[in-house]
Amino acid sequence: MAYKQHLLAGTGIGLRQPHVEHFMRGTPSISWLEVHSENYLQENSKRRHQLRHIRNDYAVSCHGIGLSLGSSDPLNLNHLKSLKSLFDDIQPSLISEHLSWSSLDGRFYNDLLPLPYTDEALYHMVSQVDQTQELLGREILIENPSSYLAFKHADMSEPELLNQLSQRSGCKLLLDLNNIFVSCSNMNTDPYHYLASINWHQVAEIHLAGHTVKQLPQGEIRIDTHNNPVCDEVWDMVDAYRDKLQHIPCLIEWDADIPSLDVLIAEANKAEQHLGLTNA
Amino acid sequence: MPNSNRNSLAQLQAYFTKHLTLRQTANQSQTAGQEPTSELDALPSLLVKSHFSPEQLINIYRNNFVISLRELLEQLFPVTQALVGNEYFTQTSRQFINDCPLKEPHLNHYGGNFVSFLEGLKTLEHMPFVAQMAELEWHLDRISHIYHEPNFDFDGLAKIGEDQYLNIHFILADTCHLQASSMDLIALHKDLSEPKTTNPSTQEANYQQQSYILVLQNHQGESALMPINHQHWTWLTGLQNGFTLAQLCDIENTDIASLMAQITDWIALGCIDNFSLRAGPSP
Repeated sequence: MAYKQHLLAGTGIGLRQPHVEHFMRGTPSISWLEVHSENYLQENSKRRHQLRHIRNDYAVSCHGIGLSLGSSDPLNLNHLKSLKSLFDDIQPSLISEHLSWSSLDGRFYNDLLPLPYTDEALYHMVSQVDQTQELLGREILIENPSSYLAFKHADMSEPELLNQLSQRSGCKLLLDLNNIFVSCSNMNTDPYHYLASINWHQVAEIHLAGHTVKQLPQGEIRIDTHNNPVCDEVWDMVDAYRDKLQHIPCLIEWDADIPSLDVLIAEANKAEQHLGLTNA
Repeated sequence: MPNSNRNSLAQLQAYFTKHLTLRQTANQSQTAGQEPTSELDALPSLLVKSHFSPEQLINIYRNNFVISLRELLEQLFPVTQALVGNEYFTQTSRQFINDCPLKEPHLNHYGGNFVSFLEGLKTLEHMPFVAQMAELEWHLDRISHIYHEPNFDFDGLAKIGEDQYLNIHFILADTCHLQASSMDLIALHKDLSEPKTTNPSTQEANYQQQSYILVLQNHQGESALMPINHQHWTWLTGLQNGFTLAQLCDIENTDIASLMAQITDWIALGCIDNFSLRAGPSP
């Protein structure tokens, strides 16, 4: 199928089911859309049909959560084949996955689990990303996860691993600023040091989202729940790195307690203001 | 190369997944009078020290995994949940999540696996209608997600000579599901979906009656429940089993005209979306 050409630039939102009818009936004012690849794998589903329709009016990015690239299991070739079929059909501008694992011995855990940032994990990720890009015939982006724990035997920091992964495999990076803030708060490290360590030439997409602060007896921990507006601290990070960020496509993610489309678009407009793309 | 004295990635991931399923495993071990395995001590010793305990931190990942799957089951099976009660549903969901690992990187078939799990539960042995209700809800959801455009080949059918009619096999659309129960599942589904508050007499409804149900996608693209009679059930299950018109006529001494009239209705409803011509009997 030949779609109209649309440039993926500026600020987009995640396409979520409660808002699909708005996009089927019209063209709400938003620059681009991101979908979760695993929700659109079935070829004869209404969702896939709706996405084809919407794709004609918008540039789309496909964001995956199921490849489990960091798992010591072999790459799931059946899943990769289904993804390739989706990408051939929808022709997304960007394809992304995570620096994480979610399966072992064929069992899936439906969450993004943490990797130790060791040489072994880096070599493994490079090999998995290489194989994925080879089979898809195109470049992918890898996103930094939210972390709640870290492993003692790390050989490098997360941004160092992402830089190395990108350099060795040729993949690009999807930088989630909320995830950086959540992880750094939980690990008691400096998010600005993280941002300063990133090779910005390799960053091809930005995510912004909200999170939840959970109170435990020993103190608070931040959980990446995507059910709130972007917090002030993350907006401060956006302001501080505006010059670098404003040329990179930026996405507002909101996956739980999903608000009305107007609220989501207002959050995207707020991002454009912080990025200096529109006037406040 | 990686330092061989350290835990390999595979080993660390094995420790981690053991912890993710720890709660149920530990409970089962205690029930059986055994100590939890010492292998579980390995992961906490690998974590950077934090003011939270290793168990609290791993619990965040465990909750994400368990709660996301439990919420999916609640979303797919609200009537089944109302039928068995929240406590039993939560307990059964937890058991399913633990005992029947998710084997795919997506959740497209997870609800269907839950139905099979309920069918095999000893505690529901004398309440088969619970698994039947779950089956009904699973197909209502499954069918609602299928993109279906009626495109029956009427021209092709018109080209078939009358002498070949009995060799036609009509094919049920994948937007249809047939189900039989010794309970009136449609009434039960309706009453549990929309609890009655005003008329006390209807609260004593008798659900103990045989029912035959067709779940289908209506012309608005929504899934719907339709009660059918025994004869229609027999014909439709015959079609599902690949029977030709000749074989269907043999089942209940049906005449071809009344069968064709019914098939025309089913084509109009979108239940039948194709046909094939089988070889006739040898002379």
